Formats: sequence, structure tokens, C-alpha cells
Amino acid sequence: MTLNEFRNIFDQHYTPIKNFLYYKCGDIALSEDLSQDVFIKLWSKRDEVNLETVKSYIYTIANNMLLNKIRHDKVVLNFVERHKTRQEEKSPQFKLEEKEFKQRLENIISAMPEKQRVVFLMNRIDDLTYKEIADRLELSVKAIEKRMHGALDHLRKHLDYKI
Amino acid sequence: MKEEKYISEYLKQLPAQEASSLEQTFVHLEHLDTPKAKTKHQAWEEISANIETNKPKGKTISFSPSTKKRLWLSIAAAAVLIIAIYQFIPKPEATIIESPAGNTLVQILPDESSVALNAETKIEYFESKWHRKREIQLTGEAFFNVKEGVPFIVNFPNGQVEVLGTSFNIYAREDKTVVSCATGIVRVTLDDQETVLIGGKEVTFTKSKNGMTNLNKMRMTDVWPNEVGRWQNGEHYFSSAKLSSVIASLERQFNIQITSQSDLSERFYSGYFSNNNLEEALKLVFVPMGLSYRIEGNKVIVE
Repeated sequence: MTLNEFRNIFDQHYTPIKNFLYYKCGDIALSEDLSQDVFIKLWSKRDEVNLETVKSYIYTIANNMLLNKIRHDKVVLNFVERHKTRQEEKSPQFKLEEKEFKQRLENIISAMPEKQRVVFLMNRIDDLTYKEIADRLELSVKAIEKRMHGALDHLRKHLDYKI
Repeated sequence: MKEEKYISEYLKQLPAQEASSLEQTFVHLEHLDTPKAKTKHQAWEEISANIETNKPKGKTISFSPSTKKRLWLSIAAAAVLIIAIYQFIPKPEATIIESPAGNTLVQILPDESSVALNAETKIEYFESKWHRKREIQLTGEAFFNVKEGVPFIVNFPNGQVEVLGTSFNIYAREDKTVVSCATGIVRVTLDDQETVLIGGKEVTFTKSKNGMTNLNKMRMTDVWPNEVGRWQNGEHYFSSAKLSSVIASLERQFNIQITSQSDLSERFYSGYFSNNNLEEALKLVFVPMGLSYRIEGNKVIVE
């Protein structure tokens, strides 16, 4: 693996890896630190790494690093707004409602079983297809669909219908 | 997208209200992202700082000569080393033995083989290499008595003789080469042709040229083993030898100069002379040929 190839892998996968760790542990500082460690480890193993399987390899490293770090029974996730400019057009009332909704959503997602949560957010936030998620986590597409289904069930159960 | 289809199918099965609130959730999620404590750029900076201080396995990426370059580097290094070492190795010195005209001498070689040099003969060999390879350069005529051992090789202008242990005579002057084997077996290479001689055999090789064509002649004859190398006793025998070569032999044995006023190139001589008396030797050669001569100092004029 050359430095250039390594740089490409970093560009492509740093954010999804960091997010993956965040979905699991809810600690952004820890997720960022571990993501860096994942890439440093990848570089040290560059002679053994096969470029075709590097995607799933870095997710495995990330997962193992997190398991070694802490037990993360209680996860609290927080999200930030992606498009800040659009919000300015909205009324203060709407903003408040939205903020409340976001808070509720964060709580619901945080309470979701970890496996479902990770797959659900990789799909919704990182825009990864089921196939891409399956490749990274070394699972079948069927398993991803099952976890997605569980996540939707969880959301549906916990959402307050009168938004 | 397959995923969207999967979700919309899920939504279709739900009561309208549930479906709409889930749909709203998805729309909302589209605007959400994970928080950031540091930018991606910062993360890269920190990683590259770490991997640079942490070069594992002593392997560098930017400065690693290609295999080809490395090959040339090692060849260059090896060449420098070889040249350096060569400077310190004492160059083996050749032992050169030369017998002048009018003189014969016997040289004992390092393995106690002996070589007798006829007049005007030169041998050259390396004493330091002798135990590995007994090899001698010869010009002139010499009789070898070789002890058994590693191959004994005599190189001369027109070829080579290789033996294990034997005695033989080599005459190698100008265009004529004669290898006479007294005892044992010798392998003779003359003009790239290999011949095996046993004791009592002699091979004569004559090099001659007619314009551009080589007219080399090789002839195998019988010889009495005790006649081989008889020149060592001062006896010189000839049978149908060119008179010019007999004259050259007289010149060498007595260290004289013989000049002729007539053309003697087509004349042949069979006979004998001894090297202990010049006048007798001249008589033995020239009287049978019907030639008169006079001696002036160390010059002989044939009329």
C-alpha cells in the first residue's frame, strides 16, 4: 500500500468509520480518537493488507478497538444540523418544535438496540446502501434488511404520532 | 433506490398516521449529521504526524530504490570491493627460464618434474599456482619428464599438450611443431585438433600458407622412445629435414650465424651431428649435401 493509496482510503472512510464508532458508543471525542488509531494501525499493517478487503478490515479494527476501550451500555447520541442556512427561513415556533423533535428522535435512536442502530444510521446518515453496509460489516444483505426492519419497528413504536 | 423501496413498502403496511410520522422522521434525519470535535483535515494531520514518527519495520516508502536500482547498486559496490581487494593481492610472478643459443639447461620444476631446454628456448610458469595447475608456456624445444599428479599442460604457439605423468619432447619453432612421446600418454591439441600420443609416437604439424589458404599438415610417425630428446646428450638427428631447419639448429647449438649464397630452401637432409665440435658438425651436414663452406669468426658462409 502506498502513501497515496492510504490517503485515498482515509478520504473515503474516515467519516463513515468515525460515525460508525459514534453510533456504537455515543462519544464523539472517543470516536474521533479511535478513528485516527484505526488508520495508524492500518498503515502499520500495510504490507499485509489486501486493498480489496480493506473496507471490512478497517471496520473490524474499529470494532475491536472500541470493544477494548469501554463498555458502552448507555449510549446518548446527539446530532447536529447539516444545513444551517435553511433554518433561518423557518419561524421560531417551528424551530422550537424541530428542536424538541430532534431531542426525542435522538433519545429514541439512542435507545435502539445497537446492531439495528448502527445499520439504520449508516444507511440514513452516511447514505450507504445495504450492499455497502453488508460489505463493510461482513454481513449478508438479508441480515442488513432484517436489522433495518427492526430499527423501523423500534422507531414506529416509540414515536409520538402527533408531531 | 432499492433501500427507499424497501422503506416505502414498510410504510405502506402501516396506518396512515404512523407512516407519516415515520416519513417525517426520515426527512428530519436527512438534515442531521454526527457532531464534530475536529475536522477531517485535522484528523489527517494528526495521523500523518503519527505515521511519520512511527515508521514501522524500518521500511520507507518515498526512498526505496527499485529492485533494478538495487541490483546496479550492489554490482557497483561489489566492483569497488573487488578492485580494492585486488590492490592488496600480490600479483603472482611468472618464473621465466631462457636458454641462450649454444647452451642447453635443465630446470627442475616445483613438483620435481624436470624440463630440459634446448638452445634458444624459453619457458614460463607460475610457481605459486603449480600445486593446483601445472601449466607451462613454451617456445623452442624442450624435453619433459613429468611426475604423476594433477594435469600437466604445456602451451606453445600452435597448440597444447596435456599429460598426467610421462616423458616427451616438444619442438615448437616457427611453422613446425613436433611432439614426441617417449613414455606414457599425452594428449596433443594442434590447430584445434586433438590427438592422443602413446610412447613411441610422434606428431608433426607444419603450418604453411599458399596465398590466403592455410595448408597445414599433420603427420603421425613412429619414433624410438630412447631417441626422443636425444639432443640432451648433444646428439642431433634429422631425417628428411629441411636443410634450412638443420642450419637453424646448427646456429642455435654453436651460437653462430650461417649465411648461404645459394638457395637451399628445396633441399632436405638426413643425418646427425653432435654439438661438441663445430668443424665436425659442419662437415657432417654440408659435405653430404655437396656444399662447401668457410668459417670466419662466428660466421659461416656456405657457397
